[in-house]
Amino acid sequence: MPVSTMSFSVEPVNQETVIIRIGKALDFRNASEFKSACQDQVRKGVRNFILDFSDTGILDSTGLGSIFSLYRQVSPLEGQVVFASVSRPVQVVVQLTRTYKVFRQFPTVDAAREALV
Amino acid sequence: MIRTGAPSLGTPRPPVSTYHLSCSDMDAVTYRFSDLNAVIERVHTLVDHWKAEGIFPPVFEDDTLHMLRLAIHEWVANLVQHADFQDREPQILIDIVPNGKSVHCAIRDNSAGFDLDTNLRIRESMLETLPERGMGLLMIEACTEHLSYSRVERGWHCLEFSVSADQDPWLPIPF
Repeated sequence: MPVSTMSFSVEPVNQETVIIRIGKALDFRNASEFKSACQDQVRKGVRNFILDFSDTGILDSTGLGSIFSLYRQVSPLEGQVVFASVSRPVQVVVQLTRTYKVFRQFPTVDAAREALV
Repeated sequence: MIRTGAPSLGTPRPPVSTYHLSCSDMDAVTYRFSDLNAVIERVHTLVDHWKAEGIFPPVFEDDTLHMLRLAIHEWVANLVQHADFQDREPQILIDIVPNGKSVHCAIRDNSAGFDLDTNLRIRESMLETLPERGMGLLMIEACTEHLSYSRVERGWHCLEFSVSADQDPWLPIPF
C-alpha cells in the first residue's frame, strides 16, 4: 500500500525496491523531507529507488543534491537510483548537469520496475 | 550557500514582497507573501502568467522557458534562504524584457548583497563529487548569459542576466 508523506508517496515493489512519486516539486522546500523518507526506506532494507517524475514541474539544485545524497547512500550497497517518466522541466536539469550519466532513465515506471525486479 | 548563520527552512521570516512589472502594459502589480512557500509558488505562477500572455519570443521554446524559470527559481530560493535583509522588510522585484531570441531578466532586492563573482569561483573550486549543496549559483551561471549582480541604488542590488534560445548549457558536475 502506498505511504503518503506531505510531498511524496512511497510505493513498495518488493523488499528491496520502492517507487517514490515525487509529485509537483523536489526543491529547497521539501528536499529534507525527501532525504528523511529515503533514509527510512534504506533502514528498512530498501536498496533500489525508482523516482517517478511524471508530475514534477520543479527540480532545483537542492532537490538534485538530495538525489545525489541518496545515490551515495545506496551505491555502496549495490543499490540503484533510476528516473522514470521524466517531465520536461526535470529533463532540462538532467541535461544541464549531464546526470543521465549517473541515473538510468526509463520512459515509464513500469519499464523501470521490469528492469529492476 | 551565501551566508553563514542563515535561518533554517522552518524558521519564520518576515513577509517577502514581489512586484511584477508587466512588459506589455508596464502596469505594476504588487504581490505580498507571508511564507516561503508562497514566494516561490508565486514566482512560478508569474512565469506561467508571462507565458500565457505571450510575452516570450516565438523562438523561445519550452526548454528555454524552463531554463529561465530555473534561473529565477534558484535566485529567489537563494534570496529567501540566505540573503541578509537586516532590519528591512524583504522586497524582491522581478522584471523581464524579451529581446529577439533572448529574454533579459532583472531581479532587484533590498538585501545587503554579496560578491557573486567571488562566490561563483569559490563554489566552482569546491564542487565535490555528486555535490549535495553549492550547485544553485553555478546552475544560474550555466544557463544564463551576461550574468551580473551589483548595487544599483541605495539599499538595492540587482541580478541581471539573459536566457537565449540558442544556448546549450552545461554545468560540469564531477561524477
